[in-house]
Amino acid sequence: MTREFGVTAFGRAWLRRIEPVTVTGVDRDLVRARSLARRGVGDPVVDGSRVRATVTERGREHAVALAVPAWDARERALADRALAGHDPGDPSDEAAAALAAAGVGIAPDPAELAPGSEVRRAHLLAVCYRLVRCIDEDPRLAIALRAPDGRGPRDPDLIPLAEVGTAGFYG
Amino acid sequence: MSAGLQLTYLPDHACWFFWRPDGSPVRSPLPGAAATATLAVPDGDRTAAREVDGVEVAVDTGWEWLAGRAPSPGDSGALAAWTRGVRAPGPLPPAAHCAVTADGGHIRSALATLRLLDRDRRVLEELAGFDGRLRGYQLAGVRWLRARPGAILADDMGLGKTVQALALMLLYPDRPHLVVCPTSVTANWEREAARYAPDLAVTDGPPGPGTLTVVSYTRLRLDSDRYDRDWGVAVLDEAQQIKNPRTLAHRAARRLRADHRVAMTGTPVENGLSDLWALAEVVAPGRLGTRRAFHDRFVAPISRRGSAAAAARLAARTRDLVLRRTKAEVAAELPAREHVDLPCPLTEEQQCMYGHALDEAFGRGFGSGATRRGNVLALLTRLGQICNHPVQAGSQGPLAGRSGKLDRLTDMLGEAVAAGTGCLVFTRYTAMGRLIVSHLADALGIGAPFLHGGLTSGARDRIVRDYQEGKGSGVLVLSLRAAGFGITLTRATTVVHYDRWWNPAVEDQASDRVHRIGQDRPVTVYALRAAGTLEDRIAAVHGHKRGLAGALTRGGEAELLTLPDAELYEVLRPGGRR
Repeated sequence: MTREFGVTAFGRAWLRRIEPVTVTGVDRDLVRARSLARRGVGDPVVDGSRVRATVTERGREHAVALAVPAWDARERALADRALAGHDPGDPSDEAAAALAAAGVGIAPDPAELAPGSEVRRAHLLAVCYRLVRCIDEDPRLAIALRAPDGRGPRDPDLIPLAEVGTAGFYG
Repeated sequence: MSAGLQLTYLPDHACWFFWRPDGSPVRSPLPGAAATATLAVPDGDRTAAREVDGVEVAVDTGWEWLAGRAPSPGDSGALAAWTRGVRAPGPLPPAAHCAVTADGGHIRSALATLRLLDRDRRVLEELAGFDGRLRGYQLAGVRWLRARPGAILADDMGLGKTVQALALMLLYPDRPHLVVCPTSVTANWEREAARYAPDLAVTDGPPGPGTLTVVSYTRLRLDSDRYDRDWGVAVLDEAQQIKNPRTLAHRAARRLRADHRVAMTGTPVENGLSDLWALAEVVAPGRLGTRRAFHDRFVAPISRRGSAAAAARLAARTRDLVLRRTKAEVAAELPAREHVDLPCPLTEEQQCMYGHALDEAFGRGFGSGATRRGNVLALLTRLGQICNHPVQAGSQGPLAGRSGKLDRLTDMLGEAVAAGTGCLVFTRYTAMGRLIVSHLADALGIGAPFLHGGLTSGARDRIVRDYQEGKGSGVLVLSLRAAGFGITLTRATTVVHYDRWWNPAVEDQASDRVHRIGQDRPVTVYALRAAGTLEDRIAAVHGHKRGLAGALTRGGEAELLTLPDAELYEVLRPGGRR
């Protein structure tokens, strides 16, 4: 059977925070959130560590805005060290394991994502599920959300087009 | 400084590129080919990827020219830097290394560009034993393969995958090399090795330094212990044949040990993305993760949700594993029209029938005069039919696996259809045309119309119009005589002659259907030949006639009709004098 959410280790790290194994009994919000994530959540717009998405339920649209807490300087340094040597273009499950081994949390507690806002829990979780899918598709997102200003490790052989200066281009 | 002639090294094509920032026509100081390259160039206050017209020049030609010229005050910064750079490495302005990489988002650093240029030149130097000239993209391909222990070479049909693999082998002259391929391709490998890599000793015996062992997938499967040794380069040709991980052939291929494992296919994802995973497992086990993880992460999101993000990640993940260039990408380096002769082995059944037909005819005798001519012609026809397919020659039963030519054609068309290449298949015989159409439907599930002399002009026109309008699978089967002239089929860029006609002008005229005004893409013409038969003789006559314009009939059918029995037998017998 195809796993729907949490296909990569980075996606699974988020999934585990959404569905902690310590919870017993049926969490109705989670059931609703999953079903909304399949059809009722638009493509999230990511800006640094901020995520915006629209949840549509029973014909009504709800704007959901999340702010993912960034790694602090210590976590950031640990993360950089753990990720060194892993392909930054496509962080692997091994890269996720290296972060975990270094004690760096990949995913935040969902409760930290929209403190003080009046977003319904089911809607917030629905956007989180949708984010899991985005992270599965491109695990770089998991790192970018926690290190929004970071350039991360990169291939020294390649220069992004945006960094090719026009001054002195022709020598 | 901006104006002036720029010089950029294009690592993906292993060539130099002359261009002008203002887009004005380039007068190259060196012989080269007009081409378009994707470069990062200043556009206002930023740099953006643009298609730039210019001239491509081979790596060694450009290097020698740079080394021999004196710097000039009128040189652009890039040209001046390269002129200095060939003497002693120094800084390069971005214009000298601004080729955009395959991901579309980067250029290589000056250092990385210099390193690749150096590797390209080293490959050329070490390829002294290569008898021919690698095109730029082929050189880049050999350099790319050399840097990888396992890779999938998935260039379009006709771009020379075989040549690149042979060149890779020549870089390791002290190692034994192996090619595993379908039986229908073994003869082609042996011939290409003799032509391009005469130093490689093709052997059936024990492998040693500088030998090349060519073996079919069937042999590998049945006798896998025999190939259980350390190879230098192990090539798996037509590797789509081993995409099913549950088959013995796949497992046998996985067990092969080699410094470089190269899977070659024009269709890395023939039926779906899982094919790619299976091929990767053979050449680079574990690279794409477990089958389940690959399915969940890539196959399901891409095929079910059309996820562009997952597709982009997959492309990034496989960039180091799969090298695929299309004809369009390297068009500048391709000749406008190329002839490729493809020898195909006879199956055992065909060999048997061929020998039997000869024995019978010579045993009976041909008579004399007009009777003799008629009998010899009947024999030639019968042999041609046997070369095509036992069923065309009157046998019953299924079509697959009984004719080297039909099996080869099926592989080629599978590849062409997957790549979206329009393909024409010509045959002399209406009966064979029908068999081909029926086999394509069974084996590949594609419908191919058959244009032959028995159709009304309205039906013919409709087939031609539908084809040119892009309808159908892209494959069209034609009878050589019915379709020789008067129609335009420029949608196709590949022509296959399934059987041979004595007069090459007839074949050429048919090939002209695609290579005419309105055709702006390179055309490849393949001629299938049943190796070791009468068709060798026809191919030899063709080569001779194409070389000597005007000598229309010498050595052809007419001459055969006048030969005495002993000489005729010598020409027709398996492996006889051609």
